[in-house]
Amino acid sequence: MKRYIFNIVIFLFGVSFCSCESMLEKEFDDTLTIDQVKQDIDLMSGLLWAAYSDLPRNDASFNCIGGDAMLDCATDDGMESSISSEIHKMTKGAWGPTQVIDDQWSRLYSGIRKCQLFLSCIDESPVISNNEILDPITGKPTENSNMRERMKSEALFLQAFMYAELIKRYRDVPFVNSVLDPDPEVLDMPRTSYHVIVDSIVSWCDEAALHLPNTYSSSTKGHATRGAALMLKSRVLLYAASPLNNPTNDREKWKSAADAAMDVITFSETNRDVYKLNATFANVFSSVYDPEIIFACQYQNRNDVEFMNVPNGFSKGNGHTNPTQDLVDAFEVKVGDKYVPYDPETMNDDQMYQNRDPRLAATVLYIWGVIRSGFFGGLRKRAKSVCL
Amino acid sequence: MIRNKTHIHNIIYAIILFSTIPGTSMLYAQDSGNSDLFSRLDSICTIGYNIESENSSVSSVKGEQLESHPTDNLTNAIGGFVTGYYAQQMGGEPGYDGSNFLIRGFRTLSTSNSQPLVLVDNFPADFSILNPEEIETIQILKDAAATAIYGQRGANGVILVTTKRGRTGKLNIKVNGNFGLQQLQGLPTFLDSYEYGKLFNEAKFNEGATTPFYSAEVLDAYRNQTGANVYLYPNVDYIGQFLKTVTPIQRYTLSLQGGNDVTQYYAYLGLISQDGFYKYSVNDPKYSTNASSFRVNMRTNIDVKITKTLDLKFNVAGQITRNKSPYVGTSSIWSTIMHELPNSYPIFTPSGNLGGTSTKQNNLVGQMSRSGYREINNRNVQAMAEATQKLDFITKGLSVTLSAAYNGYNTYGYQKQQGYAVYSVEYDGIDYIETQYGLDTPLGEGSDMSNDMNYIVSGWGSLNYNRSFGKHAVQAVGMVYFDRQFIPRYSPYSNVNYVLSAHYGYDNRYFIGGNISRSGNDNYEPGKQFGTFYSVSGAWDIARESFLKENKIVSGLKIRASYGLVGNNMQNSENRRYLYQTQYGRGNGYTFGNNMTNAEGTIEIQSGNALFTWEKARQTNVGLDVTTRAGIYLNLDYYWDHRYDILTSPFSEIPDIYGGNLSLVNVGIVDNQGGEFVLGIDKKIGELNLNAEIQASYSKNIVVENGEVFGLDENQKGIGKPSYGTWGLKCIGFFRDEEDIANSKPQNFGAYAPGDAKYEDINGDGIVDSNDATRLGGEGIPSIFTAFNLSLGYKGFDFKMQIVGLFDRMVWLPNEFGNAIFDGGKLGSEAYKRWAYYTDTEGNLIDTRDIAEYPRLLTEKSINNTQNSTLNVRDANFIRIKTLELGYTFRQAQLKKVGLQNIRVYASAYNPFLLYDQLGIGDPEYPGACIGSYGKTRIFTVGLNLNF
Repeated sequence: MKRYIFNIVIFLFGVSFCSCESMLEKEFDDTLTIDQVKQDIDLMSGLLWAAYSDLPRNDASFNCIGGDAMLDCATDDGMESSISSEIHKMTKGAWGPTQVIDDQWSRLYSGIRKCQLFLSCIDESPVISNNEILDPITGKPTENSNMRERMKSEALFLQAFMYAELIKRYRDVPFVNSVLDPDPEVLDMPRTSYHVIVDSIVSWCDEAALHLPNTYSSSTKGHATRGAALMLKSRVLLYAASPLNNPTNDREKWKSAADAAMDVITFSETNRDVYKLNATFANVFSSVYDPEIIFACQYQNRNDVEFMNVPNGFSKGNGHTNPTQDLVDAFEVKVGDKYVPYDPETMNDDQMYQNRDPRLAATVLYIWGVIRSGFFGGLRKRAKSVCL
Repeated sequence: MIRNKTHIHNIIYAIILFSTIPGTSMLYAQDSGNSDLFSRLDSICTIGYNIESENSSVSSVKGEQLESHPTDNLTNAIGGFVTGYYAQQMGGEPGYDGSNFLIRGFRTLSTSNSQPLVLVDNFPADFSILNPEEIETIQILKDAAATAIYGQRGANGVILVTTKRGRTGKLNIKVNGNFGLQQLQGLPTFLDSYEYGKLFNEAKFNEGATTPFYSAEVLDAYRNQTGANVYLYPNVDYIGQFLKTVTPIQRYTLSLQGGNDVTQYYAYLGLISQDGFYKYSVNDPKYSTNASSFRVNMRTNIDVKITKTLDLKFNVAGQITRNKSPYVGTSSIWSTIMHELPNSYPIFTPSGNLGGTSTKQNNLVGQMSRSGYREINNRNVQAMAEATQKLDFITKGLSVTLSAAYNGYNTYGYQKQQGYAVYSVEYDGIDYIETQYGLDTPLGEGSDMSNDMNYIVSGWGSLNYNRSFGKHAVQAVGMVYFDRQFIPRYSPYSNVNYVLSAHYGYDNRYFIGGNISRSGNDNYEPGKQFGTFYSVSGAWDIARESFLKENKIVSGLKIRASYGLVGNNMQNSENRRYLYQTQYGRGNGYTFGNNMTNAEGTIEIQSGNALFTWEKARQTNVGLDVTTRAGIYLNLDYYWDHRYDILTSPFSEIPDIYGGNLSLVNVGIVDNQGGEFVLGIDKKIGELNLNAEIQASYSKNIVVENGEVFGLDENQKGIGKPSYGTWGLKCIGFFRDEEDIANSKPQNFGAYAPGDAKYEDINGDGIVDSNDATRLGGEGIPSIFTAFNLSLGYKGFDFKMQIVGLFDRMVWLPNEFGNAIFDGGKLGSEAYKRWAYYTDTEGNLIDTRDIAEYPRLLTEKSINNTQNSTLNVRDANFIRIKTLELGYTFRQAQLKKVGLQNIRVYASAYNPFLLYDQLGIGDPEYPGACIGSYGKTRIFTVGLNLNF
C-alpha cells in the first residue's frame, strides 16, 4: 500500500512535470510573418502601397505647415493670420536645426525602408507574375502587363523620389540601399555625397522608365508613370546643375539637365500629348488630374484645405492663408487693349479690380468677388465684409 | 530534560500547524493584549502554497479590520493598514470606484509593467470584487525572501488573499447590514452667470476690446433671475441642479461558519447596492437611467477530512454585478457639468420643454433621463479544490498536495438609445418663440456593447517535508505550478514555475532559508522562456538568546535580512507580446484612381528583438521586529531594489535612418530604495483596550538608464530623476509690465504681454522654449505614505480611527477649477486668483499682481499660458481622516434567549474631512476625478451587526 501510493505520487509529479513544458507553446500564431506576406497577392502588393503612403506631406492638413498655413504664407505672396502658427518660425527667421519646418526626415527614411523591403521580397514572391498581357483591341501591353517589373519600377521610382527630397533639403545624406538591421554599428553610417546620390537617382529613373506604363486608367491613376520617372530625373539633374550644388558651373551638368527635360517633352509629344497646358487657368485647381500634372500625391476626399483657409464667415472657414497686397498688385491691368503693369499709386480706386489679368480672379478673393458660383454670400445672410 | 524537549516540540508543531492557517498570530502575539485588531509585520507566516518563511518582509491585515469599509472595492480598503501598499482612488462611480495600487512604490519605467501579482487562495484572481467579510487575511509580500518563489512575476510584490474557512465548533451566524449616504467632494465651485460675465468682460478687455462683451443690463439680468430673465439670460448652476447632495449605498451580508471534526464550512452571501448622483433619471421599473451598481457575492468554503491522513478543501465562489448608467455615458455627463456655460441656455423653456441651441443640444435633463440607458452585467465564478495527503508512513513529516482552480470572468452589456429635442428661446416683446432642434424619439431596440470573457485555469502540486528534531525545525518544499489565461482572439497567456524551498530554524533563534524558482512564460522565444530566480534569507531572534531570554522588557527582538533575484514580466498591454518576432500587419494604405479607392498597405508593425526577455530585480531587505512585554511593538524595514533589463524604447541607440518601428529592448535600469516603519502599542489598561499604531512607508527611485537620446540638456534628461511624472516648465511668476518683459528672457511660445506666465530658462540658453521642460513630480505618487490607526474599546463601546497622510507628491490640477474659458469652458472659483491690474466699471482698482497664481484671463487660447507647467502641476501633500467609527455592543443575557450572542450598532464615516490640504482645492488625492469622469465621495454609514 505504501509503495503503491508512493508510486502514484511520483507518477503524478512526473506527468505534471512533462506536460508543463508544452504548456508554454503558443496556441495559435496570429502574427503575420514575412513568408505569409509573400504568399498573398494583396499583402504583397500592400508593401508597395504602404511605400506610396510615405511620400512627403503633412498628414494634419494637406500641404500645410503645422496643419494650418500654406507655404505661400512664408513668402511675400501670403500672410498667415494666426500668430501662433508654426509658419512664423519661417517668417521670423527662427527656423534652424532645433526648430525644423516640414520635417520629413523620418518619414522619407521610413518610405525608403518600405521600398527596400518590397524590392527584397518581390523576387521571392510567386503570386505576382511577370506575364505579358496585351490589350485585345490595340495589341499593346496593358498597364498590368509584366506586373512584377512594373511594380519593381514603381518602387525604384518612389525610392528615387524620396532620395530626391532628402538631398534637396539636406544635400549629403546617409545612403541606405538595403533593409537595415537595428544594429548601432551598421546604422552609424557616414553621409554620402550629393552627386553620388544624384547618379543613383538617375540610374533608378532610367531603369524605371523602361518598364512603367505611359498612363493608367481612371481607376488606377496615381501610380508612377514613365513620364513621372523622366520628370523626376529631369528635376534632380536641374537642381544638381544649379549654382547651389554646382559651384564650378560645370556645363556638362547643365547639358544633362536640358537633355533630360527634352526627354520629357519628346515623351509627351510622341504619346498623344500626355502633358499639356490646361486651356482654362482656373480649372487647374479644380479638376482631378488635369493634364498639367505629371505626378501627384493622392488623398481621400477631404475638406481641411477649405476649412483652414476659406475666410472667416464662410461656413466654418478659418481664414489662415491670406494674400498680400504685393501679390494682388502683381497682376496686370488692361488699359485699352493692352495689358500693362498695375501701378498702386495711380490705380487704387473703386475700379481697381476691373479689367485685371483674369488669373487674379482665380487666385484671390477680393471684395464683391464670387467664391462659389451660383449664390452669393450664403443661404440666408448677406456675406459680411470680406477683408483682404 | 525530556519534558523541555516535548515542550519545545509542541511549540514547533504549533508553529508549523498554525502557519498553514494564514494570519494566525504567532508566538509573539500571546504576550500582548487585544492583539487581533491590527496589522503587524507577521514575519512567521506563509508566503503562499503553504510555504512558511520566518525571514521575509510581509505586512498583513485581517479581514475583520476591513469590515467597516463602505465602498464595494477592496483595493480602497487596505491602504493604511499595511505598509508598502500605496493606492490611489480614481473616482466614485458605482462599479468603477477602485484604486490603482503599487507595492513599495513605482519601481520600474512604465505603468504597464508595475502591477503586483494578486493571488486569491493561491490562484491568480481579481480581489477587488470580494467583500471584506469573506476575507481571512490579506498579506502584502514585499521582499525577495517572500516573492522569489513567484519567479518572473514576483518583482513588483505579491498580494496574497486568503478567504475564510470553517472551524470546528457550534454554528456561528453573522448578519450585517449597513446603510450609508454618499456625498460628493472635491468638486469645483463654478461662478454664476453674473460673475462669469464680469470676468469674461475682463478677459475681453485684456484682448483689446473697448466695450464690454456683456453689457451692464445683461449682467443685471443674470443677477436678477425673475420673469423672462430666467429664459433669456439664464443662470444655471450645473452642480446644484443636476447632482444630488446625497445618495444611498447599502450592504447586507450573511455568513455561516461552523463544523465538526470531519467537516468545517464557511458560507457567505453579500449584497451591495450603490446609487449614483444624477438628479434626473427615469425610474420606470423597466429601466432606470441613474448610475447604479448592484453586486451579489456568494461563497462556500469547505474542509473535509476524508481519512485521517487525507484533507480536502474546496471553495466555490461567484460575483454577479449589474452596473447601469445613462446611454450617453459618464464622461459625457460630467463633461457637460464641468464645461457647459451657466448662461448658454435655460434648462427648461417657458413651455416646459428642454432648453438648448442649434449647436448645444447637450441638455443634461435629456442626457440623464431621455437618452436611453446602458446596462453591463458581469458574472464571475471561482472554483478551487486542494487535497493534501499525509505521507507519514513513508517518512514522518512528508505530505503531498495537489490543487486546481478555475476563475472565469464574463461581461455582457447592452444599450438602448432614445433621442430628445431641445428648444431655443427668443422673445419678440410679446411672446416666447421656441425653435426645435433634434427630435424626440422613443427608446430604440437596443444593441450589444462590450461582451467579453476570459478565464484562468491553474494548478499546482507540492511535496512538503515539515519536521522537527529537538531544537531543529526543517521545512522543505518542492513545487510545480502552472496557469493559463484564455482571452478570446488572443493567444493564451501561460506560466510555468518549478520551485524548491528550504527553511531551517534552530531553537527559534536562528533561521535560515532559501528559495529557487525556475519560472517560464509563453511570451518569450522558445528556448529562452525559462529563467532562474532565487533568494537567501536569515533571521536571528536575539530576545531568545540566553542573555535576553528572561528580560522584563523585550519579548521578541528579531533582525532579518534577505537577498534575491526576482523577475518582472507583468504587463497589461497586448502589444508587448512575442516581441522577439518581426510582426507585419495592415496599415498605411494609399488611394488610387479618380474615385480615390483605398488600397490597403502592409507594414512592419514592429521589428523583432531576438534578445527580448523579462525585467530583473536584485532585491535586498533588512528588517527589525521588536515586541515588548508592555505591548509596544516596532517593525522596521529597509530595502534596495536594483531593476535592470527593463523594456524601453531605445532612442539612444537607433537613429531614424533605420526607417522602421523599433522594437522595445531591455536596456532600462532603475535604482530604488525605501523603507517601512511601524510603531504601535497593544495594551489593556484596566477596562480600556487600546491599540494605537503609526506607520510610514517611504520609496524613492532614480532612473539610471532609459534608452533616451544622448546629448540632452540636464533638465531634459530622464536619467538621474524619478521614473514617474510629467514634463513641464517651471513658472516663475507673471510679467508685471512691458519693462519686465524687456528685461526677461524671450519666450518662444507665441505672443505674450503683462499678466502672462513667465517661465524659467532652465537650460540657460537665453531663450525660454520647450527645451526648458523638466521632470515635474509624479501623478500623485507620494514618496512618503503614512498612516495612524487608533482603536479603543471600553465597556461595550468601540472607537476606531484611521488617518492617512501622503507627502512629496504632485498632482495635475485641471483648468476647470479656475479658468477654462479658452477651451470653451467656464470659470471656477480659482479664477479670482488670476493676474489682473485695472480699474473696473465701478471705479474699483483690481490689483492681484502680487498674489496671483494664474495668468491673466483671455478668451483665446494663449499658447504661452497653456504650456505644461507648474501652473497646473502642483504640490499636493495632504493628511486626511480616512475612517472614523463608533460602535456599541449589547451583550445582555436577554439576547441569548433568541440565540443572539451580541448585537453591535455603529456609525462610521469614510473620508470625512481633511486635516491638512496643501492643494487647497479639489480632492487632493486625484483632483481630476470629477473632470471627465465621476467625482470622489465621502460616505457616512450606520450599521447593525448581529452575531448568533
